[in-house]
This record gives sequence, structure tokens and C-alpha cells, in this order.
Amino acid sequence: MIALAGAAGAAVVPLGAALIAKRAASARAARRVASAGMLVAFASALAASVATGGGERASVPVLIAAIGLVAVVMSPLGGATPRTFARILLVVGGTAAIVVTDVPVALALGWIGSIVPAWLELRSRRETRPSARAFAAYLVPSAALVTLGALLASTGLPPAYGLLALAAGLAIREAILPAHGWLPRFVEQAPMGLVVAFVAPQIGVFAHLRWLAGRLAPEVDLVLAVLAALTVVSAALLAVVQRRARRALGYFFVSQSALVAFGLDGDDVVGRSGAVLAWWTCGLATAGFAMTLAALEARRGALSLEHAGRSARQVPLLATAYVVLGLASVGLPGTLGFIAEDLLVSGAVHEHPVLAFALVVGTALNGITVARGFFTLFAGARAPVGERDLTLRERSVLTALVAALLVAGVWPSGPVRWLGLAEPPPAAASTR
Amino acid sequence: MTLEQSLRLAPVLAIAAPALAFALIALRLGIGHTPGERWTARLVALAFGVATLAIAGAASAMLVGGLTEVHVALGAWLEVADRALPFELVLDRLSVPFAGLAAGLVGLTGAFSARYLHRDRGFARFYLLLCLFGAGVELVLLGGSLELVFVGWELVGLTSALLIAFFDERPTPARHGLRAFVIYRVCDVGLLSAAVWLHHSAGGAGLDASERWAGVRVPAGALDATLVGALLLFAALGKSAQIPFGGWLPRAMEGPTPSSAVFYGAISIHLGPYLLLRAAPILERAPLAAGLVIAVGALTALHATFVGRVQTDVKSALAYASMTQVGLIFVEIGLGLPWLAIAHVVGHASLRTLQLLRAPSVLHDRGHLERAMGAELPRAGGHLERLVPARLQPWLYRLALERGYHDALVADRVLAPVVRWLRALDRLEERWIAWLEGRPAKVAREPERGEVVR
Repeated sequence: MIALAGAAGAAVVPLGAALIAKRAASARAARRVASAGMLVAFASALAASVATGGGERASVPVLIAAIGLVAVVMSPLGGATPRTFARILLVVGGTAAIVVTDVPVALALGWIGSIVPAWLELRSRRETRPSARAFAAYLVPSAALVTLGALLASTGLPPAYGLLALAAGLAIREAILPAHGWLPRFVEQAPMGLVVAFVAPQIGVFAHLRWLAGRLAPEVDLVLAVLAALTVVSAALLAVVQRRARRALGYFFVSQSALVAFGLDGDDVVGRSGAVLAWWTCGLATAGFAMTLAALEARRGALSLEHAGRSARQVPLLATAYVVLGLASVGLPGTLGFIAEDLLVSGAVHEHPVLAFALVVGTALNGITVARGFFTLFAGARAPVGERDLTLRERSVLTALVAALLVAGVWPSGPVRWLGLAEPPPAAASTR
Repeated sequence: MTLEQSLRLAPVLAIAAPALAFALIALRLGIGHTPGERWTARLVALAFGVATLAIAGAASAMLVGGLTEVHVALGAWLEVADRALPFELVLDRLSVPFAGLAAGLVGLTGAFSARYLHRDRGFARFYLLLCLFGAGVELVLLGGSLELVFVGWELVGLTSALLIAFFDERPTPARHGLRAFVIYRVCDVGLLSAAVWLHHSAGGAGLDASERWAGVRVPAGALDATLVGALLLFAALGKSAQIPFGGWLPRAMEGPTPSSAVFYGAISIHLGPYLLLRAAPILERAPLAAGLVIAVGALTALHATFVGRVQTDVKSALAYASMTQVGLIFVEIGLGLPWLAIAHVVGHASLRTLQLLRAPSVLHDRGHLERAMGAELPRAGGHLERLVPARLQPWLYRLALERGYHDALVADRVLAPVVRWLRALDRLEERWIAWLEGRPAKVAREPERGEVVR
């Protein structure tokens, strides 16, 4: 009951805050409202999770609320309107709503509820309106398939059809090859706060764990694993050669998302624990990483990876946050990401030895993408005097994020126990 | 304090002291208060002094107690089902001399740098990275499992790349820092994969006790042993700048001279041989892997000595000299001569650190010597050139100046086609999305860096 209240808090508070933020006088006021709302949502989700002693399910709202908090607090104001912040909150609320209930139809409603605000934001600007079409071309079928899967599950038909429809819908949202094309474009076009709120929680992973894990036929599992491994490596390769920082981040998201998806269907407890830890680490670290990129973009304009940037001497904290969060999301030793990667690969190697090596290669390539960004954006020329480092608002949230990842990396047993990963996995929810 | 307690404490101190110094400097920088030079230099000297003394104490205690190998178990880092990550450190006849030498040399370099980097704006940043490097190196050397070794290994790579790009207001150091990081990261795949495969094939990636020193667990199957041996060799290639991954080393000299000395003369470059020495039981079981170690080492030694002879700046010449010596050390390890390899590493590390630290003063030193002798110094090192026919000399000189076309081959024949192909794939993706968006689907190809557009 308490867990449900926490999850409800993570869903209802952002939805309520969205109504207020939409009517705010300026984007700055809207961000203030959104930040306060997300702080309350995060606190309620955390309190509920602590009160119930943690557990994988009870902790998911904490992850969603934490990512939402990072997204709104770090969102730059340039080009944003009060509606932008309202839509970010709606995406967070819709995503959190998915974890509140076990009713399949609620999954479909939450799924649609998180897609529509992102689509509306793309539609709201002339320059991004065409991208709304591409976004819809992928995400509408995803929503349709998830809804179909949920309806089939509710009607008591043989579960295989429903599960297949669900798996296809989730694969599109998780940007698994060949349904990945929408994500790099979305990252390039949408406000970064919205991108983070929509992509970083990887709600497809939750839905996968809740509805699909252990229930798919072994052949389907194998196909998904192969596609996920291919996505990890191919997206990582494409990220490395990008010329625009945002597009590189888009492929980075695709690769990292597939990395998590890879470990979800394995029978191995270690691999599954690694996947869940990777989900958390990737979610939090990539959220912070993407928002540091947005912060830099707000200071310097569109970021190119072709030409040398400027020294980090004026922005040392921003540069540090960029490199630590970027590398944390790809398994920097000393952060939780390393433990997650180690467990994920160790689990995978028993079932799919070749594919496990693909994960290691993909992660290495993603590390190169982060480093390429760092050495290109934060070095190469004298920085102009007066470039502003992290503000107090940005510094507070990034410090908390980095500290959490470092502490969890040095003492991983704590988060592992809190998430209930040392115990055998619960059976997937019945879809009947 | 009992012998056992002091032995438990020593490796922990050797890792924790630099780590703590790193944390203190980072904390002060994080709150926007750049620490003073004297405070920073003293803190770092204290940290590495403690680390050196701890290892020296452990060595004495082991000698007195007649111990050759001590495993210090500090509990489990993490346990999930049957997968445990034990936090275990190892003191033995391999780790103790290496760890003592490393702590001592990093400490000495730190002391030297206090004057060298005086009033440099990156003074605190340099020491911050030096401490992280020191902690990483001690973890590599004292780690009792390949996972712990990997943690230190990655930290060493990261600090190395960041120090190469230390002078961040120029484009070249940043490019070279990235190049080093890329090679490290690619080769680190070997170490992590070896650890994972050892878990799969041998039940764990810990170091097992043996007669000589603790060694990597040997898988039962010959094929598994060969695979793990090859993966560990791949990991060592990057860190030790062996062919075909050696191109980054001369470029790494863009960093401050003290960091060049400690990374590429003394410690970082010898971590490859250290890893292979730990893997000696596997190399004995897998002759193919041992043969690869010999081949790579011999090729690198030949290539580096050939190219090093025509270098016109002292740091590049020293970089190639380091590559040559490390190549020879690889050969010694592959031939099963571990004690010779250890002696070679210790001697080479000490000499090369001194040479690199004196490199900025080489003209001054030369002038001093000439004034003392009252004559110009005789030209040395020309004996091999006398053996080469005069007609071949200009051709060979040109070939050596171009580094045997090694770097150009890797860049133009391997990397460039891959990048071109990937970018073509990316353009296809863009065209597909443009079509969905109803935009013109033509995506123009942008010229590559340095490409002449006709």
C-alpha cells in the first residue's frame, strides 16, 4: 500500500505540477514549479521505497522521479516555454503511472500518455514539426502494439499473440534494430529535458521485466538477444563517427538502451541483476550526461565534434560532470556502472558467449564516444573569459547524482540489497 | 602490531593513501577553492611516502617471516547468486617490488614536479590526476583478481589520456590524448573479456597461489587457455604501446614532462609486462599465446629501434627507446624468463624516469659536460649506420622518418575505410528519416578531415 502511494506520488504530483507550470508567467517560473513538483515526487517515491524496505518494483518510481528531477532542474531556458516544462512533467507522470498498476490496460494508457506530450512538443515548433511525423511513424505503431498486446492479454486469448505484440511494441520504444531510427532524430530535435524524461527511464525495460521476462518462447528470446547485441555494437559504431554532438548522443542512447534490454530475458540471475543495475545506472548517468551536454549547448550554441572546442578552464565543474557521468554510464570503475557491466556480461557469457563479447565491444566504443566529446568540446583552444561554469542549481543536482553513483560503485552491496537483486527474480505478472 | 596485522594493513595503505589524497584535492577543487601549491605538494609527498613505507614494511615483514605470498582478504565487494566479487589483495614476489618501485617513483616525480609546474594554472589538476594514477597503479599491482586489476587498469588509462591533454588550450594535446584513450579503451576489451571468460571456463578470475608468485587461474582446456592468453596479450599491447598499437606513445609526449616520465618511462608502460607475468601460468600452458607474445615484442623492438634512431627531439627518441626495451621484455616473458624480465623492468623504469626528467635540461647538461671536458662531445650511437650501405641510407632514413608507414597504414587503410563506410550508413539512415518527415531525402556527403574537395 505504501509502495503504491509512493508510486502514485511519483505519477500524480508531476501531473498536478504540469497544470500549474503550463499557466506560469514565464519559462523560468515554470521551471521553478516543475523543479519543486519533481522534488516532492522524488521525496515521496523515496520515502515509500524506504518504508517498504526497497525491492525492485517499489524502487522504480524513485528512478523515474530522479530522472525527471534532473531533467527539469537542468533544463536550459533558451527556446523553452512554460508548456515545454508542462510536457516534460506529463511525460514523467505518464511514465510513472505505468508502474502503479498491474492492469494491462493501464500499461497501454500510460504508454500513450507518455508519448503524446513528446509528440505535441515536436509539433509545437515549426522547425521540428516534420520530426513529429517521423516520431509518430515509430511510436504510434509501438503504442498500438502495446495496446493490442494488453487487450489480447485482458481478453484471455492464448497469451503468445499478446506477448508477441507487446514484445514488438516494447522493442520499438527501446529502439532495438531495425526500429531505432526515431531516437537519434528525436534527440537532435526535441528539448533535452524532454528527451531525458522520455528516453532515460527506459520504461520499456520495466514493461519488459513486468510482462515479458521469462514468458517468451526461447526462439523469440534468442532473436531479441541477437537484435539487442547487434544494436549495441552498430549504434555504438555510428555514435563514434558522428559530427554533431546531439546526434552522437542519440546513437549513444540507442546503444545503451539495447545493452540493458539484452540482459532482461536471460535465465541467469547474475545477468538479470546486471541488467537491472545497468538500467538504473544508465538511466541516472545518461540523464545527467545528456543534461550536461544541454548545459554546454546553452552556453556555446550547437556543438560540433568536427572542430576543436574550447578549454575547460572556465567551466571545470561542467567538464568534470560531463566526463564522470558519461563514463559512469559506460562502466567507469569506481561507479555503479562498472559493477552493472561486469554482472551483465558475466551473466550473458554462459548463455550467449559470442554476444557477451559484443556487449564488451559496444561498451568500449561508447566510452570512446564520451571521450571524443570530452576532448573535442573541452579542449583545443583558449576559452573566452566569462563563460559560466555550473550554476548553484545545476551544481546541486549534478553533485548529488555523481555522489550517488560513486558511493554505489564503492559499496554496491547496498543498492543490490535495496533493489532485491540478491534474491531470485519474481515470476512475471500473469497477463490473464 | 602483529606480523599478520601489519601485512593486512600495508597493501590497503598503499592504495588508500593516494586515493585519500586524490579525494582531498578533488573536494577542495569541487567547492571552488583551489589548494595552494605547497599544501598540494606536501599532501602528495605524504601520501606516496606512506605508500612506499607501507610496501617497504610489508617486504621486510615477509622477509623476516619467511613468507613469499600473502593473500589479504577484505571481504566481498559484491555477491549476487553464485557470482562474487571478492576484495582481495596480494603481496608476493611480483607485486611487492613493483608496488614499492611504483609508489617511490610516483612520489619522486611528484616532488620534482612541485618546481617544474610552479605557478602553472593546472598545478592542482596535475597532482589530482597523479594521485588517481598512483591509486590505480597500486590497485593493478596489488589486486588479487582480474576485476580489481581492471579497475586500476582503467583508472591508469583515463589519467594517462587526461594528462596527455593537460595543456588543453592547444588542439594537438587534445587530439593525442583522445588517440591514447581510444587505444587504451579498445585494448581494455581484452582484459575485461579475459576476466569474464575465466569466470566461464575456470570458475573465477582470482589469482591462485603458486610456487613462483600468485598467477591467473589456468582454464582446463588448452583452447580456453590460449584464448585467455591472447586476450591478456591484447590488453597488454595497448598499455605498453606494442605493435600495432604503438602509435600513441611518441604523441603522448605532449603532456608535462614529469607525467611522461612516470607514465611512459617508468610505470604505465610496464603494466603490460606485469600483466603477462601474472599470466605466466597461462602462457606456459598455451604455447601459441607465448609465441604471439614473443612475435609482438620482437617486431616492436625492431620497429621502435629503427624509427627511434632518426627522431629529432629528445622526448620522442626516449619514447621509442622505451618501446624497444618493453618489446624486449615481452620477448623475455614469452621465452619463459620471468626473473630476467623483472630485473629488466626495474632497471629500465629507473633509468628511463631519470632520462625523461632530465630531458628538458638536455642541452644544458650537454653544455656543462662540454665545458668540463673542454671539447665537443663525440657523436655516439652511429655504429649501426656504418653497417648500412650508403646508397640505402637515404631510403632507410626516409622510411624511419615516416615511422615505417605504420601509423599511416593503420589510419588510411584500416580506420579511414571503416569511418567512410559508417558515415555512408548514417547518411542512409538520415535519408530514411527525411523521407518519413517529408523532407528532401538527399543528404550531402560532408568531406572528411583533410580531404581535398575537387
